[in-house]
Amino acid sequence: MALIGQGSLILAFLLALYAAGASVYAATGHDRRFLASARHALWGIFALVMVADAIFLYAIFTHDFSFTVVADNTSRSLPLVYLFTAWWGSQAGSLLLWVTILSVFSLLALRSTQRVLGELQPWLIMVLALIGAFFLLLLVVPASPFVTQIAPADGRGLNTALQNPYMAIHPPALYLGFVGLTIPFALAMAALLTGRVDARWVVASRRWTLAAWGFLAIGMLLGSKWAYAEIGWGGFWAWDPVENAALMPWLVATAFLHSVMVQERKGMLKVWNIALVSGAFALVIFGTFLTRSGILSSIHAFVASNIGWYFVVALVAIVGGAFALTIWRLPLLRADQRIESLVSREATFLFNNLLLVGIAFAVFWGVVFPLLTEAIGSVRQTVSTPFYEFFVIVFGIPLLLLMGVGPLIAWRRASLKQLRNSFLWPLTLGIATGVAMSAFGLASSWPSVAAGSVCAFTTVAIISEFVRGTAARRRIAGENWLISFFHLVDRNRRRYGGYVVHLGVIVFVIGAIGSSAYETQAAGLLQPGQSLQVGSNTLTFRGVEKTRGPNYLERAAVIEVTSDGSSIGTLRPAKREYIREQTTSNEVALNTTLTGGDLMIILDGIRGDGAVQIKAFYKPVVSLLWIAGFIFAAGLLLCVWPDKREARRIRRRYTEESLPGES
Amino acid sequence: MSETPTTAPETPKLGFRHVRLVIALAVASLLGTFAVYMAFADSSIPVLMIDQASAYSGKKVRLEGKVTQSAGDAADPGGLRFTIRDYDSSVTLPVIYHGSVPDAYKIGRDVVIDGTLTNGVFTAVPDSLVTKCPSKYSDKASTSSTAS
Amino acid sequence: MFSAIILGLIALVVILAVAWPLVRPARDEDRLDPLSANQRRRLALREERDLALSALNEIELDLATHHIGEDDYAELVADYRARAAAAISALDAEGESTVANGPA
Repeated sequence: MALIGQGSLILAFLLALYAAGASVYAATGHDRRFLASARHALWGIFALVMVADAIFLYAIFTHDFSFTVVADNTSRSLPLVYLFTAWWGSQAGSLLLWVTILSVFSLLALRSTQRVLGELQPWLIMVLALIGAFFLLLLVVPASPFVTQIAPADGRGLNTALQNPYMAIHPPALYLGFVGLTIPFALAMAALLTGRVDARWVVASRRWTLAAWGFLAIGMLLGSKWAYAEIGWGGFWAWDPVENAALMPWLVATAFLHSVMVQERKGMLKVWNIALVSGAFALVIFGTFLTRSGILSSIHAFVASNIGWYFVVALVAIVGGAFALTIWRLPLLRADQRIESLVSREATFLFNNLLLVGIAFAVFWGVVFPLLTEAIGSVRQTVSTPFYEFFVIVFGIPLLLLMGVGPLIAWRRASLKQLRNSFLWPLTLGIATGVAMSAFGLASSWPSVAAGSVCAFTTVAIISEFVRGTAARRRIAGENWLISFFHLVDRNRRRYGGYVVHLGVIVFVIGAIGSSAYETQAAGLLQPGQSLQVGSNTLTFRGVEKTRGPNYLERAAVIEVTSDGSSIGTLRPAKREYIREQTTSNEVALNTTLTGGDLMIILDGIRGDGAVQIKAFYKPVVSLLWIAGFIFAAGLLLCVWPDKREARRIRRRYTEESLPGES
Repeated sequence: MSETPTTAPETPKLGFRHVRLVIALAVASLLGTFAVYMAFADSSIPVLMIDQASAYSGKKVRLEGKVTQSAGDAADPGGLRFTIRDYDSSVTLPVIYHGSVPDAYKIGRDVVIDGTLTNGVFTAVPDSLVTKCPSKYSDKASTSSTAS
Repeated sequence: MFSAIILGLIALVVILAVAWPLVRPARDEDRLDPLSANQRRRLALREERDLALSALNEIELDLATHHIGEDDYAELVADYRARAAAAISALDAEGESTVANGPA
C-alpha cells in the first residue's frame, strides 16, 4: 500500500513537471493540443493525490502502524474525530493536505479563467504546476507520508494540544488561505509573462484573494481562540513565530486587496500590486519554511534537517523570478494617471499600503532578528511582545483612522466643503468618546484612549456611509428605507460588504483592547474553603475532583464563583494526564458573562496536601474577538457573493473576440 | 455633454511634486520609527547558552538549557529551585523561579527562562518559564535537537 | 507485487489521459495564438468603455451621498462621459455592436 502511495506522489511530481513544460510549449509553439494535455496532467495530479490521500487516511483509520507517520501521530485510543485531524498533525501529513488543496484550487482556477483569460492559461498552468511540483518534491524526498517500519503494538498518540475542536479546523482554514494566495500570485506572474498587465488579472484574482484573506483571518481567529481557551496562559496571541507566519502574509494580502481597487479604477499602483501579491505569496512560503525547518530553535537545528534548504531555494526562485519579471515588464507597468491630491481615495489607499507593509515588516523583523543576530556571529537576540505591540499600536491606529477616512473621501480629490460635512459627526463623536473614556476612568493608557476614539470615529463614518447611501437611493428610487437599504447593498456588494468587514475589525480591536488593557487578575494558593477575589467575583475552592476520560485522567479544582453575593456557577479548571501520550495538559475554566467578558481560572498546580495554586483573570468584552469573526464572515460573503449582472458584463467583455470582423 | 467647468476648485490643488514629497516623508517616518525604536527602546534580550551566561552577569537575559535537579514549589515564597545545565558542556547554574510552571516541566526537560544572573544565582522573571518539548507537530528538527 | 501492479495500472491510465490530446496530428484549429493586435485593441476599448461606465455610476453615487461637490461632479462626469463616448464610437467604427451580444 505504501508503495502505491509513494508511487502516486512520484508520478504526480513528474506530471507536474510535464504540465509546466507542455503548457510552455503550448504557448511558444502555438499548439492547443499541448494545452489540453497539460490540463489533463493537472487532472491527473489531482487523481494521484486523491489516491495518496486515500491510502494515508486508510492507514490512519485502520491503525496501520507500519506507516511511521501513523505510528508517531496516532494511537488505538485516539477518538475518531482526532484520527481525522491527525492527517495534518505531522510534517508529511500536513504537506499532503497542502498539496491536496493546491491541486483542487489549480483546477478551479483554470476553470474560472478559461473564458476570461484564455491568453494567460498556459502560463498560469506553468506557474501552478511548478509550485505543485515543489510541494510534491517535498513529499517525495524529505517528508514522505509513506515511510514504513516494523509496526509497533500501539502508536505514540496525537499531540494533546491538537486534541480539541479548534485544532480540527484551524490548520485546514489556514491552509485554504495559504494555498488560496497561490492563485492570485500565479495570475500575476502569468500576466507579467504574457505582458497583459492591465486590470484583467486583478479582476480574475479578486474572489480568490478575498476568499484566501478570509480563510487566513478565520484561521488566525480560531488559533487565537484555541490559544485562549485550550492552552490557557491568559492571552490569545503570543507573537509566536508560528502565529506570525500566518499574520505576515495576511497583512500584505490586506494591502493587496485594497490596492487593486486603485488599479482597477485608475490604472495606478500596478507595480505595487505585483509586489504586494508576490510579497504575500513569498511570505506564505517563508512562514511555512520557518515552522517546518527548525531554524527557529537555532540555526544549527536548521542545518541538521534538510527540508529547510528546499524552501530556501524555492524562496530565492519566487522572489528572484517575480523581481526579474517585474523589471522586464516595467515599461508596461507605468501608471495611467498620477495621484493628483493627497486628499483623495487613491492617496488613502497608498498610505494604507505603506502602513500595512510597515506592520508586516515590523513583524518580519521581529521574527528574523534572532536569526540575523545569530548569523552575524554574535549572541542571539530576541524580541518579545512589547516590540510587536509598539508597532501594531503606532502603525495600527493611523490604519484604523484611514479605515474611517477612506470611505468619506472621493476618488481623485475631495473638496473642503464635502470633507467638512462628511467628517463632522465622526470627528465629533470620536473626540467625545475620548473625553468620555477619560471621564469614566478608562484612560489608563494613551493607546487605549486613542484607539477608542479612532474606533468611534471610524464606526460613525461607516454607519454614515450606510445611512447616506440608503437616503440617496431612497431619493432616487422612491422606495422605503428597508428596501432602499437592501437594494443599495445588493447593487454595491463589494463596497458595503467591505464596510461590514471594517466594522468587524473595529469590533475585534475593541475586544482586544478591552480584554487586555482593562483586565484584572489575581493569583493565590487556596486550601479547601478559602477564597480569592478577582474584580467583583469571589472564587471559593471546595476540593479536587478526579474523573476519567477516553484517553486521559483528569484532576479538577472545584471552584464556586459568586459575584456581589449572587452565584455565578461552579468552574472546574483541571489538569489532564494523557495516558498514551504521557503528557499533561492544562484545562482552563471559562465563564462568559452577559456583557461579553470572561472569567478565566487556571489551575497552576495541585499540592500534595490538597491545596491548589490558581490564577484568575477577568477579561471584559473579550467575546467581541470571536463575534468579530462572524462579522468578518458575513461581510466577506457579501463581497464574494456571485453577482450575475457583473459576471455577464465581464463575460461579454472578454468573449466578443469571437464576433465576426476579425477572427 | 460639452460643458466645461469654469469655476476654480475650492481647494488649491497640490502639485504632483508635493504629493510625492508627502509620500516620501511618510515612508521616511515609517523607517524612522523603526530606527528610533530599535536604537533606544530596550527591545531585545540576548538568548544564551549556560556557559555564556556569566559574561552577562547583572543583565536581563534568556537562558536555554536542561533541567537536572529540581526542588521546591513555584508558588511558595521560597520558589522553585532547579539547576539548569548547558546542552553541550557541563556548566550549570542554580535558578530561583516564581510563577506558573508549564505542564511539561520535569527533570530532563529542555527549558527556556528569562532572568538575571547575580552572584552566581539566576533569579528568574516570574512566569517566564517555558519548556521546549518535542511536541511541535510539524517541527521535525526540534525532535532531533532535543534528543541530544 | 500486487501493489506494484496496481501502481503500474494507475500510471498507465494517467499517462494515457495525458497523451491522448497529442495522439492525433496537429490540425488548423489546434493553433493557439495570442490575441491579434486588432483583438487586443478591441479588448482594450471594451475595458476602457466599461471602466468609464462604472466610474460614472460610482460618481453618481458619490454625488448622491455628498462625497463630491457639484463642480467636481461636473468635471469628472464630463471627463468619463467623453472617454466612454470615445471608446464606444471607436468600437462602432470597428463594426462591433456595443449594445447587444449579437453581430453589428
